[in-house]
Amino acid sequence: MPEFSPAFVLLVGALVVAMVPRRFGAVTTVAVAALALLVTVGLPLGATATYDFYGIELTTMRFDGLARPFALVFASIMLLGAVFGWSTMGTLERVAGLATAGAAIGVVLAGDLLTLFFFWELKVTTVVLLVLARRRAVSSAAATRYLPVHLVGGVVLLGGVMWHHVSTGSLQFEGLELTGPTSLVLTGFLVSAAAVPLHAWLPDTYPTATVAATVLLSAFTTKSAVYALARGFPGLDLLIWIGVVMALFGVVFAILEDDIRRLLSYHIVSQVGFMVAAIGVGTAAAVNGATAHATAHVLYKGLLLMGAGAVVYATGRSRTSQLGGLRGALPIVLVLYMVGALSISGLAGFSGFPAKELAVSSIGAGGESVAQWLLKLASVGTFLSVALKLPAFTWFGPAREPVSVQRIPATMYVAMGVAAIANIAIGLRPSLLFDLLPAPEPFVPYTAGKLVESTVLLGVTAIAFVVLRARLTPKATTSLDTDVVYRELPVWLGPRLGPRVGAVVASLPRPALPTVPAAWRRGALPGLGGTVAPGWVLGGTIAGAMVFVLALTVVVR
Amino acid sequence: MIVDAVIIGVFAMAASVVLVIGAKWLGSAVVSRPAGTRAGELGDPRDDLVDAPADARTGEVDDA
Repeated sequence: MPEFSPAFVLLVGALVVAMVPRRFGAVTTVAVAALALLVTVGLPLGATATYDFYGIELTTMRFDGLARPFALVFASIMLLGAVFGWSTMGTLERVAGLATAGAAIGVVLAGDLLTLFFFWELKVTTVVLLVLARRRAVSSAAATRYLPVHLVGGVVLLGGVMWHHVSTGSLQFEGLELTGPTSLVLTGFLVSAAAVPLHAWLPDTYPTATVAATVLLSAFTTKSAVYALARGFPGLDLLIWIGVVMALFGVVFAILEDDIRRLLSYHIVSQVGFMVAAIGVGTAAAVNGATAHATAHVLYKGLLLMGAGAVVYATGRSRTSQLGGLRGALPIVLVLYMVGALSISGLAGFSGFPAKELAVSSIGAGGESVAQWLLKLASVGTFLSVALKLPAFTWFGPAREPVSVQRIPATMYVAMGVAAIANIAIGLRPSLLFDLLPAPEPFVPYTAGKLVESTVLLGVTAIAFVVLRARLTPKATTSLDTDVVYRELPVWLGPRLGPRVGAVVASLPRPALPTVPAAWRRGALPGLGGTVAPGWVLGGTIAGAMVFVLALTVVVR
Repeated sequence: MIVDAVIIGVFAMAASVVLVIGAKWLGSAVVSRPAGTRAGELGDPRDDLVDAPADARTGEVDDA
């Protein structure tokens, strides 16, 4: 097998899918994803590729022990997502999905900060397209909010990279000391990791995409940020507490949430918190724990969102306050969903048990026992909402509204089945996962003490759920999150400041500029089904691109 | 081991109660609103998937 980056296989494959006739789109997408997985599996540890960029040697591929598990699981979930969406994905969705996977793998294989930034921003762009691919007002609005958040994050990241390069002369991406420049790099990573309070883009965006796109989205953005933190900032104490806050914040909001995909999105924030906390401890075992947890998380979260997506596909409903009683209509989906739910809950025998045990144990072994107990608290909340509340009010009890259940394509069952088998296989044989980890640290997850602790923790939580079930009865509510700032503030400020700003702008002398079509000035672009973004977002995008080009000029010089 | 199991059991029960009651209090006091009433929510005020035709559930559109 030739040694070339699987990122380029996916990016070139995305172009091929864009050009093939629509009826070949599904098979081509699966073939490209399978080829990328084969190329990743065939890469030997230590494989590298470099590229001379105006005198700067960029490392476009660094396939080492930390990059390998991330690249493998990204390629795997792309393949599963392509199979899951075989009969539902449109061409734009397939192209954007492959390109997002390629960009995410490009991030984890990047050997320097400039290559990392290139793939980082490419990923932002393709994620926006992936969300827009649903072509509904709700997804366009979410993409419109996603874009400026990540553009700001990208500009901050680039500013840090440039400053770091100017002050040290290095673009090396490995174990960065926290300085002024690298604090900007860290902030850019934390935006993509959905660290509280910079997280609101995640539960805002993911549930609005199509059912297959949400599976892909759940894997790439936050986990590539986890990789970047593990590569760049292992042992940074601040990350321990950022991670703990994320873990607890996510479960509290998940308990409140009514929309099943939004509930699972909050649990991405929570689970990424476990990983970030382990990276903050920074020992070899803790980085192993974060990597193992991230890898298992991609598999079980993908399965959970496939299960939730299958419910949405079959019923057209996404809120537990509108669901219930699906046990008879969607029994296989229930079984497969529960494999993911028991995995994320850390029940013995499922992938989350060894992965979470390694992460949480290493945090305790690192002397952070308070953080360890707070993460156990978050584990209780995870089991309550993902494995008990969501299935209880979706599959069991009376139907809250009459629902017609549409037949689910066989390919959805195939993708969910393979994901379930992978989760059980890792749970029963953790060496499948542990052998891929960056450091050769021995860890035995199945001890009597750990088994008893896990069983009692989850068993007593189940009893508590029975007692507290009435309090968890779903209500048709939406929770305000930190996105209230950019959701509500413009609505409040617009009528107050808009006329004044307009008057000031109108009074300025105008240079002779080419005429811009009126529709473009309103933000309505042709070909994407209507209004995509208000003018200020498009303007911000252009300004961001200009900053990027100027910055690149400085770095190259 | 039995003592450890008792401790973790008491912890799990207390954690469940604190999380559920705490989250519900937080929701009713501060963060919960009727569905679809946040600024920037478009489409059906409850959920734009409701009663949508099957193709809208998946995002499937004719690219031709």
